[in-house]
Amino acid sequence: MLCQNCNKNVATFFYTETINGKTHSIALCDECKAKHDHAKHYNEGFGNFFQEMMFPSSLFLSNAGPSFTSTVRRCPVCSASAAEIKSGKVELCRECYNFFKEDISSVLKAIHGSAKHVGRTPSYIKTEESPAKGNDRPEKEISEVKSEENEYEKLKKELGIAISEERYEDAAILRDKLKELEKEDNYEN
Amino acid sequence: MKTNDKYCISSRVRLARNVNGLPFSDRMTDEEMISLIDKVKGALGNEYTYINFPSLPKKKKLSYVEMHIVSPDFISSKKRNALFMNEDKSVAIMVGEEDHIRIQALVRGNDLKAALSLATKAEELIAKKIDFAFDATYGYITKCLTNVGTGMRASVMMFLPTTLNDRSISAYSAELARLGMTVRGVFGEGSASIGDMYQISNNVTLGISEDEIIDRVEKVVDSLSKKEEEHENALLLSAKEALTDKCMRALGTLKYAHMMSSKEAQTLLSTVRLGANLNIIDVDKSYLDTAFENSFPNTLSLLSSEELNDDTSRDIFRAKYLRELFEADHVSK
Repeated sequence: MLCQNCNKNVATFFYTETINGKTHSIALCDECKAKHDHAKHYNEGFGNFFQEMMFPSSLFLSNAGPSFTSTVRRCPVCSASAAEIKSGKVELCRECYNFFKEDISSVLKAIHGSAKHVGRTPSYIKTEESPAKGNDRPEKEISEVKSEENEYEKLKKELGIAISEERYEDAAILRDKLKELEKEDNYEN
Repeated sequence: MKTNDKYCISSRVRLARNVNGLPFSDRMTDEEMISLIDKVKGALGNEYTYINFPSLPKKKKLSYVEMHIVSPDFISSKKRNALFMNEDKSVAIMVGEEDHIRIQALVRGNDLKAALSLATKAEELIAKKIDFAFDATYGYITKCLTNVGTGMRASVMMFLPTTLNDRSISAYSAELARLGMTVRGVFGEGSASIGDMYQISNNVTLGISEDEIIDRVEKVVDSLSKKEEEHENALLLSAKEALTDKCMRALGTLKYAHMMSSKEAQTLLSTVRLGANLNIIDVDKSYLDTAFENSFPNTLSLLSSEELNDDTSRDIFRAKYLRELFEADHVSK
């Protein structure tokens, strides 16, 4: 589903809010979520922030700010959440593997006792043990598959550190980089 | 003949593969699936026959399920899909199943290594033209997390009349689960055993290599074969005459009955096979395998020139088919 603020990007964050005892749900994209986090950090007040977002003003007339009861990150393609994947209630889509990398690792460990592949690699990928065997096609090095993953993981870690150190400008840059990688990686990894 | 061959009917290896750059089958458009089928067709070349699966008659489709060539989901799918088979039908490739490509190799007896080698050959043929969805950490990416890694299921169909039954299977299954393995009925999870046949296969596909999977399944198969041999020999010692009578009566019924349900046929075939294992009955086991495969209703129907649309006509035809098979001289060794 689309972000309910900008109506342009796919929503990846789903909020449930309770304002004066009434519960409302809002779906936001990464960008609008970042704006929201920024506003929250500088105490700009949720009321203003959401009003800027052109949600029905009646939602935010109250002076009492909304209290967040949950934030659910959802796959931008199939809308599955990590909890749903962990429970085995929903089927994965191809993007879930990129979007929920860490959650998927923990589920894989629970199922298989391991999250690391030790079997064969496709014949057209060159590894230390064996040369590539695809005759009619360009060869790939195993490091090519690895390096993309490492870059993603590295940026993710840096983003975590930046947020914990409250370096929000750096975090925004890192988040954009990650988004770029996710886009490139979309259906390719 | 290896001892195991008394108890191992067939060995099967299945490899699940998805294609890079495409959503999983359930989210693919018809155009994307047509293009994928064409690509696989191009990669497999003349070695494989293309079968436009949805256009097949219903009985033929169901027969493929009975013969374990395709999954039940594959025939109920509303989406376009295709089946490819090599000349001797030892390798079947489903395109558009839960995963884009499922390669399955089947060999007679206890020989998972031969099955893996056949499946790998087909896989490499496809990999020359198609990039698989592969991740350096997770291995082969599959629709279901239970298949990630090698994407490989290695299974052996075993005949275990004196070792397992529908009650003991769950306890044994729990024991095997600790080893990352499972035992199931003929048609997979939750299905009852048919004719005392059971499938032994790996559950774990990640963090273990293809060769290790085969090694583990072989070990369980060996241990079950030994158990079955002990139980069968003990039975022969304790009740030789009664057992001989039972086996001869089973063969007699197969030779002279006028009507026979699939269940009765499968039970009788199991008894005759037990008699053959213990040298009570002199019968070529490959005929028992063929009779077992053809005992299933849809596969049986394909052998008849007439439409067998009700149980009675099928049961009469099944009895006639078995009479002819078991009366013929070539059955006896």
